[in-house]
Amino acid sequence: MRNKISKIPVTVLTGYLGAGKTTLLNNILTEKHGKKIAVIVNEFGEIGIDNQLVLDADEEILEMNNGCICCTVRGDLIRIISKLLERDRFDQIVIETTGLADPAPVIQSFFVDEILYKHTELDAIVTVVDAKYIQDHWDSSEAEEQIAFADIILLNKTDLITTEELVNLINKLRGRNAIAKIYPTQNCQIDISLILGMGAFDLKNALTIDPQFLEEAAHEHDETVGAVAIANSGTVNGDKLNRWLYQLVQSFGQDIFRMKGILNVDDEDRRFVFQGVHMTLDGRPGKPWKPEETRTNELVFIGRNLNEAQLREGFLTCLM
Amino acid sequence: MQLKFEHFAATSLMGSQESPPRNNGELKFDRDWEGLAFGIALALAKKGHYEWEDFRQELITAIAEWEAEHSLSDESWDYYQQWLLALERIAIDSALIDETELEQRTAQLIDCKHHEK
Repeated sequence: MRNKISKIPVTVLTGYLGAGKTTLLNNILTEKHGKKIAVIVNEFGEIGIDNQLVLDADEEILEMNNGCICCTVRGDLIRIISKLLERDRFDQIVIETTGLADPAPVIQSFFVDEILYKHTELDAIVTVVDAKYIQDHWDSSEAEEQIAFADIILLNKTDLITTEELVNLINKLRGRNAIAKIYPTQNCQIDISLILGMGAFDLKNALTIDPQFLEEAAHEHDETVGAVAIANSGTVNGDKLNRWLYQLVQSFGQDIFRMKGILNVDDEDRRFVFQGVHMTLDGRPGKPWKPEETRTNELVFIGRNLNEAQLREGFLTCLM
Repeated sequence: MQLKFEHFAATSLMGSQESPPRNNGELKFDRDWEGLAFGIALALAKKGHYEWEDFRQELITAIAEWEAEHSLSDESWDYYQQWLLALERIAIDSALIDETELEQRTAQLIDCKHHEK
């Protein structure tokens, strides 16, 4: 292709206070990956580290005009990134949120703001978890959300717990988030290529939802935060799906942290792929089905107090 | 959400320089072949022969090439000529037709027009 312009990938770094976000950030900035990275952090002046750029953000939460309290965006981020886009060409943007920040407004900003939607693409939500101290605040809403929203979880400071505790903790994390990749680390030491360039929000290349996720979500978990997965062959009626999803997020959007689906809609040649955060939905035609391929519908919901039976039933009404 | 491919494709062209000519918000085709070229580009992508984004990039390139060689006030500007150029290129790139066949068929069509006169 002649001089292709691609969207700039954006990684969002979350994690409780002291979990190791800054350590990870330093590892990203100092590793020789040859990428030109812009970093947006809190409580920082603007400083330059070699080829990188670090900018300061003050958490400014804006409500969207539809009156829904979960439809918030981060005005500060929208402004900073829009300016950044005028300024220079970066290979990657990394946003470090504060330990108490809700990841939803950050993610929603990228779906809702036109400039961000056009020029950037969320790469992944990376959550750093303190393996030892997570136990003390496991039930805090911040920790709940940061884990539930993650595409990648760094289970950091594993040197402070036993192997048995580590296994238990990984199981607990799985129960709360069936889709995230979990990496145990010490000092956030990890191959940066496992974190950057993940394309976790990339709808155009999504082919399937990892069968392992679907399986994990099927397990019984006694947590309020968990996942529901639906796998089903059959053809989805596009209009019915549209109505169902919008009504679903109207009624339960606040409790749905993330959702994703890859569907056979109206027997089209292409998949229909969607994702969402709370009440924000983003969907488009995806990759074509191969002629010999079995077409299946796969959906995953992660949220609080999800009603599995109701979700399944609702989806079944969308079939032709 | 953009459930229909047509909706998705048209939206991705909006509000930029590669956006097709419109009249009162409606797509405007002055010659019959313009609508055909528009429909074929869309239908081939919908069928999965190439990605719409790749076509869009071809279109941006074709427009940029014209602009590099002409002044912006040049009245010979013809949006759908650039569209057609982009469509021909992507059809060749995606191995839907090869260059020789395209030349042959074009020559046949031109030839047949001459005979009609």
